[in-house]
Amino acid sequence: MNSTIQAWLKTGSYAVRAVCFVHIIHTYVYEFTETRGESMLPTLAASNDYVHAFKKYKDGKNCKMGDCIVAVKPSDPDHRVCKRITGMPGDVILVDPSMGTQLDRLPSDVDEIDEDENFNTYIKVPKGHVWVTGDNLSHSLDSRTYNSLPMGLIRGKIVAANDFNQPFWSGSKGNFWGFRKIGNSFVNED
Amino acid sequence: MAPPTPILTSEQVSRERERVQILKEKNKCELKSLTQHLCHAEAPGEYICVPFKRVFEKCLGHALEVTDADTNDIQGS
Amino acid sequence: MPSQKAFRYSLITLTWIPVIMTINDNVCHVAKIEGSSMRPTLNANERSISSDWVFLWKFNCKKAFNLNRDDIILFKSPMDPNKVYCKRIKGIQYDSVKTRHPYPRSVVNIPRNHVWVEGDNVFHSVDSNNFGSLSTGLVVGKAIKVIWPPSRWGADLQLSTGRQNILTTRE
Repeated sequence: MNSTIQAWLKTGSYAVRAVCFVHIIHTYVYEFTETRGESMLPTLAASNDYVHAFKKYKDGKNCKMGDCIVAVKPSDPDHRVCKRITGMPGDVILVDPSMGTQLDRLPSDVDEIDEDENFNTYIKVPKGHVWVTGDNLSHSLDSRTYNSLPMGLIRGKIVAANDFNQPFWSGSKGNFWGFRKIGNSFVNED
Repeated sequence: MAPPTPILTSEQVSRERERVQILKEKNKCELKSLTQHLCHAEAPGEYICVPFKRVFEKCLGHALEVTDADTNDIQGS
Repeated sequence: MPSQKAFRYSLITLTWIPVIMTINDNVCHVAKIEGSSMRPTLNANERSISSDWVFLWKFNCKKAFNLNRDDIILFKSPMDPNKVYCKRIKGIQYDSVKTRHPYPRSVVNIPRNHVWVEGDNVFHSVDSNNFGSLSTGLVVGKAIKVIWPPSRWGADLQLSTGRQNILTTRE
């Protein structure tokens, strides 16, 4: 009887330590997690894509313009979002230059859109915040709705992704399950 | 929710542009771009994405967006 | 061999460190309060050199239903993620609050999963009037009790001071 209790206690203590260890790694070092949604197309697929995130970029440390980040949604702390940083503190950026270029708009509508408005609505990103938008500007709930994101909500930077719809090994070297790196998309022009 | 962020007046923007212009003459600026997309579903699970480029003038650490109607040639599609 | 035993014990101790970290991150912790923005509730004595230490409850503290008016919370500053501020909740989600300088509007409606925080020491406080409503995702923990120094054990943290009657009807 006594030894059964002891065995259970031992197993329980191992389980607690293992779970906490994984939790700490997930919080501070690295996480591999599923993503859903159309907002990061075509960088991340709408379903079945898994991302590798590094947590040393937590709280926006060393994050740069063009980085792909995972953050807590400001309007709902239980959910997390993947977005692209498109404005750093102090940057002067357009709120939504893509408005009026919606593909589903009829060509006749285009004349009605006040283009000057889109290309003149500037804001300055406040201190300690970043401006984030989804790579798919047509279907993304982002800074254009909830305003700049406090850096304290950033949980990590996405560095790579796997697609489990792809075969385990497609033939080319180092390409398992559609593995690909996700880099910084802010590049030099010319 | 971020602090209330005012939309910059055209006056403030043109002042910013002037500052960038001055720095540009001193070769302290870099022209950078960031390409995002406009995607829509053709069929369930199938998407068509059109690139949408945004252009920034980065001077001394701060960026000013200079995307305009010509950048992506929105009329000529 | 004694050295082997020592090695074994230190290894076992090591495996408990993540457990302690997890508890400190997610259940409870202690925190030192600095600065005068919560005077007279915390760091009451102006001349005293010692700061107050508070017991911090963290479990589920990011959930809006656990955050009530007049709770004292610690949160990551929206203006600088490396700083942690301590303030009192003055308004919860869906409330309307009368603001003061330097907030640009006179009344603000607090959105879902946000709170309005202000310091008890109204005129020496950087709070929601500067940075707007605070996402509950930034909350680090709720201050429950002063645990150090012992002379401050009786301090009532729920006693609301600071600006009063700032709730208003929704516009």
